[in-house]
Order: sequence, then structure tokens, then C-alpha cells
Amino acid sequence: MKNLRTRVFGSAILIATFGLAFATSATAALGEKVTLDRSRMMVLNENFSIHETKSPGLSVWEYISNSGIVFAVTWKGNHHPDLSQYLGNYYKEYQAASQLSGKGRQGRLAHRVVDGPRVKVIKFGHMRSIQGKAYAQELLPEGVSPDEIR
Amino acid sequence: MKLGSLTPLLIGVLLLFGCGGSSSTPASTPTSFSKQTYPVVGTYATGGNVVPVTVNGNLCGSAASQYPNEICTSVTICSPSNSAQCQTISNVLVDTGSIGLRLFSSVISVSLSPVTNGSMSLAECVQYGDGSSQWGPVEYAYVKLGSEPAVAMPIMVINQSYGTPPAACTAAQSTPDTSPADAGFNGIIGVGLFAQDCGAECVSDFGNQQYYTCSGSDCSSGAKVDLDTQVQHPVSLVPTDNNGVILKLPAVSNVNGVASLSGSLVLGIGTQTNNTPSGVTTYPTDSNGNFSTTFAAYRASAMTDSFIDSGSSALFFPSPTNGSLPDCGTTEADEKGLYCPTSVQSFSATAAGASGSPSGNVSFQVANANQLLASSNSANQVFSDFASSLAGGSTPYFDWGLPFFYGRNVYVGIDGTTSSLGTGPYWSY
Repeated sequence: MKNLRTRVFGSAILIATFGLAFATSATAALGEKVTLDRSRMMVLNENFSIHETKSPGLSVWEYISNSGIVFAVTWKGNHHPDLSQYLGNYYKEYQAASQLSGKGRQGRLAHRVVDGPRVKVIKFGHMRSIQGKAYAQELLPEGVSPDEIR
Repeated sequence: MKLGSLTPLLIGVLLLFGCGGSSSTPASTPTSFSKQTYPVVGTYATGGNVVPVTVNGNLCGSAASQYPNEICTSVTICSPSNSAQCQTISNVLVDTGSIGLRLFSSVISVSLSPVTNGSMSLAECVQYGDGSSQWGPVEYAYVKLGSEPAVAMPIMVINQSYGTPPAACTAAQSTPDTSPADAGFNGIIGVGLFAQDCGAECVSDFGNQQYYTCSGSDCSSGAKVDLDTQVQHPVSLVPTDNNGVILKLPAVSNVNGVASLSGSLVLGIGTQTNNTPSGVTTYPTDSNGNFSTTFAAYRASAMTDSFIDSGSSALFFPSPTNGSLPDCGTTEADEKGLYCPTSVQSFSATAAGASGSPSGNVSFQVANANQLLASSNSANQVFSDFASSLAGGSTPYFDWGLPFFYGRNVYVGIDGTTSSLGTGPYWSY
């Protein structure tokens, strides 16, 4: 995880840039608590804020509730992120559910959905624009729907 | 024969011998490969830029191995150390959603040369939007498309048992394509919007998570790879017809589909008399290959991460809010995710360039996917009205999959190239 640059942003406007120490705390996994200097966070709306982490060929956005819990992660880039890093305690559940959802008769699709009991992972996109999102329904702050996770 | 044993003077020289054809003289092996000097063998003959494709049908292997709306071609590869040693591989998926030629090692019988990075061999982990992945070494091969001259270029050899793949290309984190039977094809020819599969990110940073170097079976080191040794868009390197492709497929008018289609992949845009553009509109994409689509039946706002992808078997888009496209079921056995309207439904969406212009309507139909896939309809595999929802909670986008191509000539303009249609990356149709 070297060379990380972590940014706090809102509405696509970069507000501030933090150093490596911040990056370490911001790459928390689903359900984990992030300790942030709230005075320096851009709050997107009353329910959550978003932190962008850039690594080579990949941008990851963590959705953080007002109480500091990471409840969703989205990404875009050349590859999917290492989900063991981002799913935390939900990773094993994701892996188990992933084995169950096999190939149907539908052909080669452009997306893949893994529905665990608590965690949902969606991958989609195409080469050079590989995207996805992961969230745990039980972690969504009150009043936040999955549609708000972009 | 090792790379490096031959005179550089022969690099790039056009030899009058075909690859896989009649009498051939072995080509020289170059001392180095660079953008300007990818070795070329053979000459262009009129009409040689037309590569036959079939949707399902005879280029897609046995019927049992096929899936709906699968578009295939055949590709000839030859040994970089002996351009007369060639083989033709069919059942190669034609994919405008990716870049580069990737073939399973198990179908390759000619000897290829490893691409090296420093003193080590180069390998690649490619991840796809659908969660699948491919792993294997990058090797040089002469690639011959249609009757174009053959060009030696880096391709990927798909081989899950090559060295130790990184976690991203194992079952722990993706669904690796382990064999042709598993994947449904012998390989993929990516003829998308860019000249290389990764681009600048892989040139500048070891941590690109795509390219690796291998020392013995240890492939854990990330690799910086210059553009010239990344896996290449095979069309971008042919001598003349290198600014893009045209994918031409006939229409499918039967709402229950047809058994197969025959069409063509034409190399070059406005470079020969047979690829002069006419009657099309050009839609530039953004730097990631996305453009805009607005589907008013879902929402009035534009979906800016939309794309055109011949490798997608269906049209993928968010459900209309009026409920006219119910899901086929709640389990995978019931084809969960596909649309199953009670009768064929007609829609239109507005596609636009990444900047918002130009824009144009696209009409399409959606039939009941369960009826299309029913055993009583098993003679048909090609469906213009085969469509799927996005995953619930997904960021909305429109994936214009293979059904979009039926009845159209779709132009793919490669990044940084120009034609009378504009400068790539763009789609025209």
C-alpha cells in the first residue's frame, strides 16, 4: 500500500489532500471505524462522507457514516481492488457466496453480482474501466439507500 | 532460436512470403521489438482486410460449447522465430470491450518467444468487468488477420498453471478462465478503442496490479512495462489498415432469434475502397472508453459510464420504472437478472458522445429471455432482443452488448488515430 494518496472530496471537487498517515487510517474495511479529523472532511450530505484513495490504475471511494464506520466501497480503474483488504469481516462470507454463483446459460456478461447474507458485491465495466461496489445492508446509515452509493 | 540472434536490419522488412500459406521462407527473428519495427511478413492483397466472423455458427466451435450471442473469428499465429510455422485457431471471441489477443496455451502448437522485462519473463493478470480473470505469460507471436501481412507482437497466453498467479487472478478473488471448455472460447481478440491493454499506468508504476515479472514460478513482482511491450491491439499494428475496425453484422428480424449469423470484421477506416465510411455519426468516448446514454424509461439523467461491447451477450441496462420488464426469476436456474416481459417490448434510448454531443436515438426490443432460451427454441442462439437488468443497487450504465451490432456497421476508432470520422477513441454507427 505504498504511494497512496488519499483525498477527501465532495461533488467531484477535491477539497484537501492528506498525507500517508491519514491514508493508513482511511483504508479501513467494511464495518471498521475510521478515525478522521472531521473538521477536514467534506461531508457530502447529512448522512455520510466519501474518501478517495488512489493507487496505480485504481481509484477507491470509501463511504463513511457520521459515526466513522465504512459502510460501502466503490472503485474504478484497470483492475478490481484486493477485496480481502476492503471487505474486512465480510470477506469470508463474500468468498463463500462467490463460489455458489456459477455460470448460467446467459453467456458472457458484463457484470457479476455476489449476494452474501449480509454483504453484496457488484463488479462491472470493461477493460480500462473496471468498476464495482461493495456494501453491507446492515451498515447503511438510516435514510441511505444503495442507489446513493455511486 | 532466441530473440537477439538476428540482424536488426531485417526488422520490419516486408517479406514476400505469407504465413501459413504456400512456399515460405523463415523470417528473421528481430533483435528487439519496438513500436516502429514490429516485424512484418507478407504483403497486402486487395480485400485482405476483411476478416470473416460468425455469431454462433461455424467459427464458434461445437454447438455444445457455445453460449447465446457469441461472436467468433479465427486468427492465424506463427512462430516469431519461424514465420512459416503457423496455425489457425478458431472460436476466438471478437471483443470490442477489451484490447489484445489472448489465447489459451492448450490450443497453441507453434513455439512462441517470451516477452522479457529486464532479464525476467513478463506475465499478466487481466480482470474483466464480469469478475472473471485470465493469467499467463506475455509472448511474441506473428499475428495474421484475414489476408493482411502478419505482424509480430506481444500477445497473452492464458495459462492458469503458469507460475504462481497473483491473488487477483485466483479463485479467491475472481473467476479465472481455466480452459477453453470453461470459458466457452479458445481465446479473445480484443479490438477495442485503445492501442494497448493497459496504457500509461503500467508504464509508470510497478503497482499496476496487471503486469508481473516471473523468476521461476515466483511471479509476485509488479512490472513497469513500456507501451511497446504491453499486449497490443492487433489491428493497430498492421501496416496500413491500423486506425480502427468496422464490425458488420446483418439484422435479426425474427423475435425468436436465428441459429447463426455471418458477418465481417473490416480492418481500417477509410484506408481502402472497402472501408470508406458512409452514413454514420461519430460518438467520441472519454479517456476510459465510456460515452453517454440516456434511457428515459428509467431516468432522465445521462448515464456517463455507458459503453458498446461485442463481448457482452446481451443489452444491459437499468429497469424501466413502469415495470414493463420484470425479472425472469429469483434464482440463477430461473435466469435471475434477465428480463422476461409477457410480450415483446419496444424502447428507445439516446446515446451521445462523452461531452454530450452529438446524440442520437437507438431503438431496441426486449423479448422474454426464458422463452428465447427454452429448449423448444434451442435451434436459435442469436437474439437481437436478449436483455438483462443491472444488479440491484448498481451504479446505472447502459452496456450496448452484441444485440446492438445486429443490422449495423459499427466503427471502432482507436485512440490517437485519425480517419475521416475524427480522432479516436470514438464509436461511429
